[in-house]
Amino acid sequence: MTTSFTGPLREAEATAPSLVERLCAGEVAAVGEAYEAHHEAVRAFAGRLLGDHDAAEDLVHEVFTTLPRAIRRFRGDSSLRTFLVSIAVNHARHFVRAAARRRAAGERMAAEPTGSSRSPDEDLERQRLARALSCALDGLSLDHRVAFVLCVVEERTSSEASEILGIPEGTVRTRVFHAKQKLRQRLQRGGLP
Amino acid sequence: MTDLDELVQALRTEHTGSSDRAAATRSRVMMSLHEGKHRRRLRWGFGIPLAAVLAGSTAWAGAGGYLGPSAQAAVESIAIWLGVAEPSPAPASPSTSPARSTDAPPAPFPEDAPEAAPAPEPEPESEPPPDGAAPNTDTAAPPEAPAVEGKPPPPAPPRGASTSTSPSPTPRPAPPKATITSGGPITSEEAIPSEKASAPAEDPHLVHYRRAHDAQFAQSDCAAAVAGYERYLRQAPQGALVPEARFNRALCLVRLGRHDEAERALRPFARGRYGTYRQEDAQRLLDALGAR
Repeated sequence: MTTSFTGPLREAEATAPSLVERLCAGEVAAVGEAYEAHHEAVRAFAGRLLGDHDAAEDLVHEVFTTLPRAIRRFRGDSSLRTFLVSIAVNHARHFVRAAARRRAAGERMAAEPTGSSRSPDEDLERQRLARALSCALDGLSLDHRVAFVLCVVEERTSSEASEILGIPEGTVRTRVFHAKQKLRQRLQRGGLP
Repeated sequence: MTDLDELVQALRTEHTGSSDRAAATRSRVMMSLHEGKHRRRLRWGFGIPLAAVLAGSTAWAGAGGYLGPSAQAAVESIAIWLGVAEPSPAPASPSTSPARSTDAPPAPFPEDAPEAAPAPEPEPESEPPPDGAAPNTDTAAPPEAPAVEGKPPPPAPPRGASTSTSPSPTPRPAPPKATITSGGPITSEEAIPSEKASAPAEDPHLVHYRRAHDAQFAQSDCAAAVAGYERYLRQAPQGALVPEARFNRALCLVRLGRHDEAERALRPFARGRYGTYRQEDAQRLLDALGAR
């Protein structure tokens, strides 16, 4: 750990408990503060997992509305951000299905990318690739998908992923390995849309 | 072929977490939370009192015997499940067997049968009056039985136990259990006092007995007392205070002038069905009734 982290980390450690305590006390304003502090991380994870901005927004909403109830399970052995991501994982199943259905319908209708026509070509290409990966992820089980997004897309350590998922690190690594293997097979077989 | 890493990089860059809808989602979250809080407040403000009223009225109706048998059973099973009541004996199933063992669940209230449909007295040998006189059928002035003069004696355990007017199920020894046939009067073969009733369980129907006892001795309302005793006997046919309830009911019947029913109720005591419990009193009453 570098010295530049020490101050903010201490501050975070000093302030996090009070926020958690307020959340535990059911203070609605505390949810707002948690949202301000962590919504980007949760939204990024949700978007990468679901591959859909609308569904990601819904999942973020779900995470923060269930936070006051879920916070009772927070033991404090991980950061609040990690805990929020774990809530997102627990609620993701329904949203993953919904996003996959929407994506499949879009594919069938040969929908154009959602970006505006004024986007640069590289943005369009990025969107196309991202959607291709999301479509490939739809073919994985939720466990493999979550492990892949956490460890590969979000570049979290297997230790952190194991904290979020509540499973051993070895299991996380195995899931990531199998997910990568299946994705490669799928992409080789089907190519890119 | 595009490399997987390239796809991953594209997905990572596509979803960075920043969104122009972040503020709208925050508002949606806060609104949902406020609505949830409002709903919870409503639930606590109206739902809980409503549930309390419902539970209270159900308990009151259950205690007063105003619930139907199925609702009563449901309430009892909930009470047992919650651990606030002991399981009551199983209700009697209609049996065609004339002779029953002491373990068989007795009928709720055998004396009801002759009242509903007057049947011939199953006991051929009626208790003759001591002086051999014909029974007096004049009911204009029913004779007061010795045991019901003034304040009737409180129920007492059959053997050697101290007399107590306020029944309490736990401290006192249980009187011998009544063995009751289903639908018919008690026969001498069935009159086997049980010795197993030495440790009575908590009787959830005791409230009926207490009310009946109160109606009889405090309010002198014998009709209410009879109803209460019958309710107790129906609901707790193997209850700890069955002999007391039967005897007190008989006393009330005497006071109400329902002498035939009183005689039927007193006869088992006189015959020693409950041991020596109230045997002499019952015999004296029967003698007095027979001398009408």
